Amino acid sequence: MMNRRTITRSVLTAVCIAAIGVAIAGWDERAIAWQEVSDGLDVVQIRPNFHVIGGAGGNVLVQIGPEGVILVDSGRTDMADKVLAAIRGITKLPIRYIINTSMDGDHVGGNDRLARAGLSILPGAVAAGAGLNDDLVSNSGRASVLAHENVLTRMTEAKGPQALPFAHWPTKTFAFRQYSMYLNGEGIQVIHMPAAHTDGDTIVFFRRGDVIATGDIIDTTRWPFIDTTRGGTVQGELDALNRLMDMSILNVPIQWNPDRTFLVPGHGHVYDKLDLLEYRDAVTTVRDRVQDLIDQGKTLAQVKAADPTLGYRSQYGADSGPWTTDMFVEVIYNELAAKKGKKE
Amino acid sequence: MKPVRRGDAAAMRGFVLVIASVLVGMVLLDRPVDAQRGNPQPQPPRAPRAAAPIDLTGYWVSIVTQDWRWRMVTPAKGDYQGLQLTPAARKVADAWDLARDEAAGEQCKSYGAPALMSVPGRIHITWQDDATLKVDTDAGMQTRLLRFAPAESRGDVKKPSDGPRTWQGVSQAQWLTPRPNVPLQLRPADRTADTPPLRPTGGSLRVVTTNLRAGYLRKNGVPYSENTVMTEHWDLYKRPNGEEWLTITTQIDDPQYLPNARLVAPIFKKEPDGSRWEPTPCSARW
Amino acid sequence: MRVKPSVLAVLVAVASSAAPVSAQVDLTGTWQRVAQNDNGFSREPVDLMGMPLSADGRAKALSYDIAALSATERQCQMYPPYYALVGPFPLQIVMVPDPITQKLLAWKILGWGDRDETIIWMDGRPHPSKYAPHSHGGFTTGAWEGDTLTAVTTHAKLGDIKRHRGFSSDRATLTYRFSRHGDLLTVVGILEDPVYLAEPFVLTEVFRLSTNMNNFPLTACEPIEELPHLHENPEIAPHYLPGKNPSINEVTQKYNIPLEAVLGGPETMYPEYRKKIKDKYVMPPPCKQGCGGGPPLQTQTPPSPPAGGRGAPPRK
Repeated sequence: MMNRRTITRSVLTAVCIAAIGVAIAGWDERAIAWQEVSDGLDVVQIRPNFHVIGGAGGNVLVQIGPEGVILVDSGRTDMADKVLAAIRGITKLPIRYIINTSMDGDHVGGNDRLARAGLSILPGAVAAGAGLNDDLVSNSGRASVLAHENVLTRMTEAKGPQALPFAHWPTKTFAFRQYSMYLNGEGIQVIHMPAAHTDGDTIVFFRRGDVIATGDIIDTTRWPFIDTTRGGTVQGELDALNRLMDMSILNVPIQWNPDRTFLVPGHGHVYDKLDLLEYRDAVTTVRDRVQDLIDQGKTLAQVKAADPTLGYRSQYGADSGPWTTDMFVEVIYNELAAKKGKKE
Repeated sequence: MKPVRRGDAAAMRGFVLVIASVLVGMVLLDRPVDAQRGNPQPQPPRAPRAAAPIDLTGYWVSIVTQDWRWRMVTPAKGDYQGLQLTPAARKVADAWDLARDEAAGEQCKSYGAPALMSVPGRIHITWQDDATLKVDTDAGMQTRLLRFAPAESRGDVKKPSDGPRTWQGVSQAQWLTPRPNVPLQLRPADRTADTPPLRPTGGSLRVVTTNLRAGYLRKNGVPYSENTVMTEHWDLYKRPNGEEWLTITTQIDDPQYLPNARLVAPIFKKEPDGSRWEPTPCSARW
Repeated sequence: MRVKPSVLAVLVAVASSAAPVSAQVDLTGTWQRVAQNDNGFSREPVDLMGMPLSADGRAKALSYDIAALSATERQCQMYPPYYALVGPFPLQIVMVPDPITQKLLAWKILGWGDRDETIIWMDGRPHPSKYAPHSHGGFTTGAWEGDTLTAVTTHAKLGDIKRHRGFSSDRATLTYRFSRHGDLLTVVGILEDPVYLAEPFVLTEVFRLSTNMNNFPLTACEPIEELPHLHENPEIAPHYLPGKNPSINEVTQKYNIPLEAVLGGPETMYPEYRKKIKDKYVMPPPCKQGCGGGPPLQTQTPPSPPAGGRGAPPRK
């Protein structure tokens, strides 16, 4: 016969086992997330063979295939080891090319480290450390670093804080409208966008994957940085944005289908054509407003006071830092006023 | 009769105990977990105040994001946008005369219970006693009493009693607490570490109001009759950032003037104190 | 046979752990919109009353030229998730079970022709990285709080808050609360946006369970060339210059509501704002046109989608 003591012990045991059961049941497997966070970096897979590494300075696009890894940009120098670790977390294949979209330090700072970790596909290259003499063509067996010629020109001329070490300089340049190659089953077009953010901008269009790396032609976190000291212009920026519009395809007619062109900006989240349209319209609207104020005869101070970026300040503006709203307005004003002056 | 051996009797007792335990476990889990705690002896029902699953007391301010131009200002005569009215209602509304209402001392006609919670203002909710929630409004200086009646004495809550008709009518309140009657085809996902605790939380307040004096749903004379029955569900939302929001889902049934039930859900946000409380008398024109 | 106490305890525990977690309700069904509050029916292009817009939000709203919708890329653009509270069509909610365990994996609010579906993930998965692309419908996770489902949406695109009036940016967060009371479903939406809103924008909508199907499911969309000059000059961005919106005075002219109220802002949500406009408001003359109050609305019958794009004539 069960006595009272036995019953009490049974009830207590049941409660404990039930509690443990609930705790175990609560430890279910989480649905697999399609992102990882690695050393402060976000790694986002946007296609089966395309990843974006964010948080390294500029965004780094990683394209993987049988021939190895193609990178667009390499982030900041101090983040290079982490970027490399993030890439190694995706694949052990060698880095073959680094394509730079501009000469900015937060886009080229990892060139040396990542190229050294890579392996050239050009003749004469063997695994690093095999004792070959320097081979300029194959970048001493390292991954090639490709950019527009103006990037190299600017880098060789740069002095002071903008100067970058030789090790970061491109090893392969092109001076014409575009450079194309076929790797990893992808047609890759590296297209020069003249006088946009700088005069050395390129976009990289992966035709099969339908992914376009835009560099700082698109910066989702701020107004596009028009670097007039390095050949950037507002009109060139707008031309570049409109050209990107022409190259991109939305998910129509089946709007709920996620397949569409992805644009990987220099900073911020991955865009599609509709996001690009909003960005382009924002820049165009501010340009139109400044033009209207110039047509009314307003001075630069009056134009700034009229706040032509109202409606977009919280999204893209900044009141301090290397690229402020006032700087953006000033660049637009100067360019449009100069055109007006020429017309008159 | 064959004598029962000692082992057989013990086996039989064990079997009965197992079955009983399983049955008890299933019965216990068909009730809110709260009821499983503590002393299994039957408890006398708690007073509504003590049994409140949510705390509605405090000062709340209307947030007017909906129907702005019919609530924040007195709309034009004949402006019935967003309403569905019977011909009888239109006839009454088309005859609205603001001056006549003022002369007749009927300034509070648009502050009756079916309209009151949509009047922009503040409400102050307190317990008048353990079974009555008191809702004061600063706009129109009205008071609603939401009375909790024992279940056995509720009767047909939608049938008016033989009392006088007033602007606020008679309101019967009832707590609704989460029920564990999940349909069998739904098997909830296993818990993860950051989901709410197993114990069901929250609940809502259900209020049925009758015995209303005929009044206005809108200030421009859109009527409701004295046969109106209003059913409300008061839901509280405590946000992780500390904000508290109150939604009052309101169904107004008035076959005389409304061809379909009128449904609205005004929103209130909790305020830390009554420092903005500003009683203003009823007004027929503003 | 002697039943050991430990065996008995295990049996009780098995019975306990097999029971479902309490306090969850069935949200499946087609929920017909029955609330009669104006969540977006206004006909005037500039009607921002009661919207807690920031200065940027107001400027963006006033610069909006509806011709922008004729851009090829926007013709097939879908409304953001908040439109579930503002738009006219029913909510059709289905349960998505895990294909293997059949446990609740997600709730899905099916889409309309111009609103993407919303999938409310219930399995605890995290939201995507801030670098991930955004979609029309965004990314939503949910959890039960008692009998109420709370869901949070991020990663949506820029879109209208109310039909062509006011916008939410791609940084907005939307919190939904679904509370079922019998055959009524109250949905509260709390929209927070650091770009366009100075305070949370909260709307409610009430739905009733219906046996009618949603007659306006997601439909494919083909853009057309609506405005020739836009397609000949694709670099044009339609917008109104500051101070040049032609519709800015419509609400004031029709309803005598002061312009400052029409332009919205957080203070317009609070009762004390009435004091501010009391002396500036005169009740307009009796309504003569578009006065409402008509016969009961029939079940929502959406218009036939045009043959292609928003500007094409409807099918005969």
